[in-house]
Order: sequence, then structure tokens, then C-alpha cells
Amino acid sequence: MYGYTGKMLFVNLTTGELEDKHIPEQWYRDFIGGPALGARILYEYMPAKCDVFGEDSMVGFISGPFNGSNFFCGGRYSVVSKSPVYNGWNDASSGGDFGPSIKAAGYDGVFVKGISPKPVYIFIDSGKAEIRDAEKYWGLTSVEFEKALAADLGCKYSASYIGPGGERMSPMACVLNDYSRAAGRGGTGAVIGSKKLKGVVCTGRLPIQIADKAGLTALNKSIAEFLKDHPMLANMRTAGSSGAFLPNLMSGDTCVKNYSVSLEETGKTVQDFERIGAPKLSDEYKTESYSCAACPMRCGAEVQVREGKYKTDENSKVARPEYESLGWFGPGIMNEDPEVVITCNHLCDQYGLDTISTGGTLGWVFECFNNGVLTKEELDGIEPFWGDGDAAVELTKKICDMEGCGKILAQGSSKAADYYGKGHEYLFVASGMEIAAHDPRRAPGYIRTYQLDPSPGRHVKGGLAKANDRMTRELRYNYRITGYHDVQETCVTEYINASGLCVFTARVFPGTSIYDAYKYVTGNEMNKRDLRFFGIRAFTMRHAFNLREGLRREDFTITDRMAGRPPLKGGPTKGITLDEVRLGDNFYNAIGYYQDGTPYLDMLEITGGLECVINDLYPPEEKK
Amino acid sequence: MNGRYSRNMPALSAEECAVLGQKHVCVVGCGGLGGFLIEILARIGVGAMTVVDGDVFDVTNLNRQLLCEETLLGTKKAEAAAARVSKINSDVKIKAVTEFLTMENGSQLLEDCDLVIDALDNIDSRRILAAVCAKKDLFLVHGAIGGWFAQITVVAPGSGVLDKLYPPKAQVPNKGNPSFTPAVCASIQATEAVKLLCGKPSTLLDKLLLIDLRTLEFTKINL
Amino acid sequence: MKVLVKFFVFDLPPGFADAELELPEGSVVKDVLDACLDLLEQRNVTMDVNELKTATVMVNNKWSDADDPVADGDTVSIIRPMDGG
Repeated sequence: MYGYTGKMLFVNLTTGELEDKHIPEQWYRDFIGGPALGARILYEYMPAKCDVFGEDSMVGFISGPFNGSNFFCGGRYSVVSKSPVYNGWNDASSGGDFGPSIKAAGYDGVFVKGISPKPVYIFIDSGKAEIRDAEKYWGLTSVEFEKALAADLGCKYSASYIGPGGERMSPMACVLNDYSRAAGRGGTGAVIGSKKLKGVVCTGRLPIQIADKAGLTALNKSIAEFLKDHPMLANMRTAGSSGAFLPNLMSGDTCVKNYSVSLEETGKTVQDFERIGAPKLSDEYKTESYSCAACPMRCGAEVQVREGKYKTDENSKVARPEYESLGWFGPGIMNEDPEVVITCNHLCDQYGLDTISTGGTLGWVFECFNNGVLTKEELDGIEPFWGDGDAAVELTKKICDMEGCGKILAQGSSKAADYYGKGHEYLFVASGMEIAAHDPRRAPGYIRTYQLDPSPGRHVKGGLAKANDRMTRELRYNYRITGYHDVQETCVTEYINASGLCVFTARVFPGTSIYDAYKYVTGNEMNKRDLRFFGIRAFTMRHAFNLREGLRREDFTITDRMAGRPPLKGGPTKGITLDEVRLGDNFYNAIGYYQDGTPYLDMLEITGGLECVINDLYPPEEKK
Repeated sequence: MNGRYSRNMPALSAEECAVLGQKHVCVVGCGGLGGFLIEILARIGVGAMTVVDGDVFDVTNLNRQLLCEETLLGTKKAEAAAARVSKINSDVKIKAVTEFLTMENGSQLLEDCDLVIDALDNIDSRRILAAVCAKKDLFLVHGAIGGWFAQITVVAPGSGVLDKLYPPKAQVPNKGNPSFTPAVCASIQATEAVKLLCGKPSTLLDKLLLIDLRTLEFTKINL
Repeated sequence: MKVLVKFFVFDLPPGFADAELELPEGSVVKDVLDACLDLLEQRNVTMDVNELKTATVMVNNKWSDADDPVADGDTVSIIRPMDGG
């Protein structure tokens, strides 16, 4: 089979068993890889409604066909599991080198169930896997762990692992690789921690069979030619996603003061936050660039704070914060100091916490404190006045160490509000998930994705928001024809995520190159219509996991503030209130679901590959 | 005169048939109404048609949309319309626009058209279409359906009729879309379109025809 | 005063007749709609209130707003918007 190893590693940590599993070839055809294939596998092998931290709960590390193929920007892998935040489907993806490495080690993915009695890691070398003791690595931060591992192994490797945040099972825990890359969202890190699994470590150089190597090389060449003069390439190379910061802040996209007001109303201007954005952030702090596997963009960068109270350790790899972290640790709490942002971001990276969830929780704490809802006493003496960077760093440290109030805040803003019994009106969460620094009041499409994606609260699941960017204001705040665009953009994104591409870059690739690449790598045809069917299938597979967990449309909640209830009083999104119900209705209409979220039987049949879902939703005796 | 149009006559005169062959109609929306409209107008022999729809077919369209076939699910409606027209009448110059109508592209889409037909399925799009027609000084044959009901009217450019029909806060409950309703509505819209194109007076100019298919009551209301 | 109310394209039971309503002097369109709700209730017809309240209204074939006055002998046509295609 081209583009795949054809082999999955199944591990039971309770019994210590390892098994090479050959899943049906048709599954690869139908679900391609990544979250979609992960959902199909968990649907098959993980029992419904099991305890997320229990023995039956499974977690998967899964690649896509482009991982290791050398197709540009095809280096992303995904982690999949049930989420401890909302007890439904979770997938999150990450770049770096791990995706290609897992395949070079001989597997398309690793699926783990059971609970180990003591800390372990899974070591895979060229098709041979074993469970190894990880006692000495338990408790180490990302930098410490990678360094210790490198010294112990003495060979080139790539690892996907958790930090202390995951070990302590914080629902904000991410899954790390390459020091600071993270499959951040949804708390899969906590699920891995609950299994006493430090991570998966891969080494080996097994080749991946490509259907048409010459075709792929030529395609890469043509994309390189196309990108040469594309403005995105220069932007990504110099600034990465931080380049989006100032424009987004200006357009009303960023989470100013925990999304409570527009920038205009704070009395601050974009200039006040200039040092957090491009080009100043990189000019002042950047030391070098790095890239994910097979990516010509090199959008990642390392930074160093050379002096002052936030001086960073020169021996530590410190990542330049991405846009979302800049948003939350910056205007999200009204902090103007880039060194505070770098410090908070680096703490999260070291401890394995998602910067969006951590930043969103900080935003909530700041607002609660400033409005007298949380007191100094409840925050261990810390007084997080708006803009107080030191308080932000202190609180982040407490969350990382899960110490004092940090123990509560590390559960995320939603659970913290429940614990304190207050502050719910300041939550900006979808099904308990904090939201990235992309305001649905600016791009209404986000509200549908945040609410009804099977992994709620995500900004990387495509949907109407992607089309919103191309729309005039008049069209953006309209509720007509949203279903078609919403489904179409969702389908493209499902394909990007499943195949291992990058949502940043693959969208600008010229013409049909992302379909052509699929043919060159796997030998299978893909056209626009196939892509739509694939996208609907992938979405529905992830959605079906939630249906089987008993989750229904009404279980996927957003907070009123997200929909502009009440609307903002100033700025570019002044007066905007969204009709999320209609956007959801339109989406379900267009994808082929009843309004309660149940897929139509014939839609499932025509889409194909979803027999398992049909059997559960429409058992043979009830089929009409 | 071709045999193809011989059965149009004498209901339509030879001159009228010839006039029709010189006309360019834009059908906006290729769903339930649009499918039947395009079929009727292609067969009767309009000279050119621009068909506009950005959507693709899904399973819920199969019950009523003439252009929707099982093998076409997931494909663009406007492309299916163009394919259908070229199969049934190659005389018709057909242009498929696989985009949704917007304020921006509207004027360009309606360039060189003689008449516009509203076969859309939502109020906001209809308002935009009416605005573009006003700007381009084009008559609009409006049709809308819901359950057992249909409404048709001819909108003179800039008359604001649609704004009256759809007050700002109008709520439209879902009454379903059985297959017979779009056929009736589209057929009457096509009738009025042909009258207008041939220079005959339209019966529904400034009049709203309301149809209740449960009772077969047809009511004309002066607007 | 009396006004004649006609319902168009509402999903009323077949045979649901036009109704003559008795209203106080000085009534406006909004009052007619309120009276209609009572009427529907009397005739055991359930209808979403919003459906009626957001409908298009014509008084003697002239478009009317909620606050427009009605007079004795007027015919009030209430038309439910439809937008399917």
C-alpha cells in the first residue's frame, strides 16, 4: 500500500501486550489518516461511554499519508482520544518531526489502552516496539526530558510526550514533540498521563513507498516555484503566525480583555502592543528559525530574552510564541510586555500545558479579579490587575506547578468557575474549552465551528470562518448560503488534517496540487467531489463518536458573550450579535443531518464507509 | 421554422417564437424552482440562459429538484443545469455560474440579460437580487414556495415589492418541500416570463398570486 | 367596529373560514393580530405566535404596518411569508 506502512501498533499498558495490527485497507481509503482514521479506529476498538481515565479509554498517535512522503508541508500528525474537558471526541495535531518519524519507525500510528502500574514510555525502533521504564523521566519538563532522552538513547529520535501538566492530569494538558511543538487542545495530555505513559519515542529509517515519486517531485518543484513570489512565504519565514497579531488586533479578532471589550474601549491602541507583534518581536528576541518536516516555510523560531527579570536560560530551547499565545498572554490580559508573553508561553511548553487554554483561563481570572468576583485571598495573594505581567507569570507558574490556586485553575476556566461558584458570566468557552484568539463576532463562521465541531472550541477545523475572510461585511453577517460554504471549507480542512498537511500553508497551494499529491503518494484518485464526500465522512465519523457517547446538539454549548449577547459597545464588531442557532441549522441542513444532529440514513449510505455508524444509529430491525 | 418549435404554435406566434430565440434570461437558483424553470425555458426556446447557483446537490434535494440525480450528489447545481440544457436544446446558449449571487458579482452576472427569474430559497438572497435588478433596470419574476403553498409575482425594477412581501423580521417556518409545489410555481413563473419576453402584458405585474394546493384556491391580490 | 380578516397561506385546517372580528374604535393592525390569536384559540388552532406577528399585513390591499389604524368595514389580509425554492 503506497503512502502507508499498513501497520498500526496497539499497546495495552495494563497487560504489557504489544500487537501489530493490520486494519482493513478500505479504512485507509475511506478515512485517509489523522483524526478521521483515528476516529474510525477508536469507534471500533474503544467501548462507548467508558471512563476517560479508565482502562478501556484509548489514546492514539496517528500519522497521515503525506507524513514522510516529502510532499511540502505534509509533516503533521494527530493525537486522538476522548476529552476529559467535555467527555467527547478529541483530536489535536502538531507539526515538527514526529509524524514522519513514526512511519520511518514502521507504523502508521500507535494506539494505547490500559493503565501502567508505573511510568513507562513506548520505544519503537525500525518496526520493533517495546515498553520501557520511564520512572526517571517522570516529572521532567520538555527540555529536561528531551535532553535526558537524547543522552540515554545516543541516536536520532523523535518523541511525542507529555510534561508535568499531563502527568498531573490537567485537562489543559497538551501533547508535546520537538521541545515546543504541541498537539495542544482538548486535554489528551491528561489521558496519556492517566495511563502513566510519558510518551512514544521513535527511531528508524524505514522507507515509505510512494506511488509516483517523480510526479511528487515535479509537483513540489512547481509549488516551490509558485511560493517563491507568494507574499505568504516571506511573511511566514520572518514572522510565523506572530505576523497575524497586529492586523488581527486591529480587525477586532483578538481576545482583548478576555473578549469583554474592543481595543478602542480600553483606551489603548495597536501601537501599545507593537512590541508583541511583527516585526519587533522577532527583531528583538529571535535567535533562529526552524521548520517542520518537509516544509519550506520555516515559520517556527526560537527566541531568547537576554537580560532582565525574564532572562531565559540560553541552554533551553525557547519558542517564539504563536499568534494565539500572543493574543492571550498579551491583550487578553492587557499585558504589553513581550517578555511576559515569552515567559508564560515557555512555561506552558515546558510543563506541557496548552497555551490557549492556559491563556484563556488567565484572561478569565484577570477579569474576575478586576470585577471583584475573585479576591486576592482566593488567588494566594496575587493581584492580577489588568496589564500586570508579573501577576500573569506568577499565576502561570502556579498553574504549571498545580500549587495553591493553580491546582484549581489548572482544571480550566470553566471548571474553576464551577469550583468557585462564580464568574460564569466571564467565561468564553465552548463546551468548557477556552477559545483561541479568533473572535466569532468578527468572523461569525467561528461560532458554528466552536460550537458544533466534534472537537468543540477549535479554530483549526475550517468551516465558514475561512470563507468569512473572503467576504465583505455585508455577506459576513448574513445567514444565507452559509451551509454550503461551511460544509465545503470544513471538508477541505478535514482533508488537510487527515492527510498530514498544514492548515496554514496547504490552503494557498496552487490549483489541484493537494489532490494531485494524494494521487502521487497513495496512487488513489481524488477530485473535488471525492474530497467533499471524504470531508463529510470524516466529520461524520468524529461526530458519530460523540453521538455514541450520548452527546446531542444541546450538549454542545457556547457562552452568551461569544455570540455577542450583549454586543460589544465599540470597535470593528460594535453592536454585533450572532445567530448561532441558524448557522448550526444551515450547517446541519447542508451536511445532511437532522436538526438534532442525527445524520440521515441515506446520507450515510451514499457517503459510504460509515456502515459502523449506520448499524448503531439505524439498527437493522429499525431501518425503514 | 424548425419542427422543434412547431408545437409552441399557435399558442405562441411564429414571431413570438423568433423573439424568444433572441432573449437572454437569467435564472438565479438551480434548485427546486430553478430546475423546472430551466427545463421549461430551454424547451420553449429562449435564446440564452445564465444559470446561477453556488451550491452542490445533497440527498435532501432528491425529492423535488429536477436536476438532482443520485450520481450527481456533491456536484455543482449550476453545472448540472448547463449539462441538462445542452442535452435538451443545443440552440440555447447556456452559461453556468457556480457562485452565489452577491451585491458585488450581481451586476456583472445580469449583464446583457433581458429578464431575471428569482428561484432562490432564502429571503436575504432575494433582497439582494431585487436590489441588483433595480440597479440594472430589469424585471424580476419572483416565485417562492413552502409546503402546499406558492406565491408568484412580477417585480418592476425598484418597486420595492419584495421588501413588502418580506418585512424585516419575517420568520419563515419550515413547512416542507413536496415535489409538486415547485413544479406548479415554476410553471407559472415561466409562463409570466414568456409573456414578458414576448412583449405581452404580464398578468402578475403588481399582483401577487397566492396558491393553496390543499384547496386549489388561487388568489390574486393587488399590490 | 367590524373588520374582515383573511388568512393566506397559513397552515390552517382546510375550510377555516375568513372571520369577522369585533374591535374597539381606534384599533390598529397590531390589535387585529392580537384578536386573531384569540380567535385561533377559540377555534382550537395552534399556531406559533411569531408566525402570525411577523406576517405581512394588507389593509384593503394596501401594505400596512403594525401601528396603522383600521376602520369599520376594512378587509385585513394576513399573508405568511414563504421563501422556499
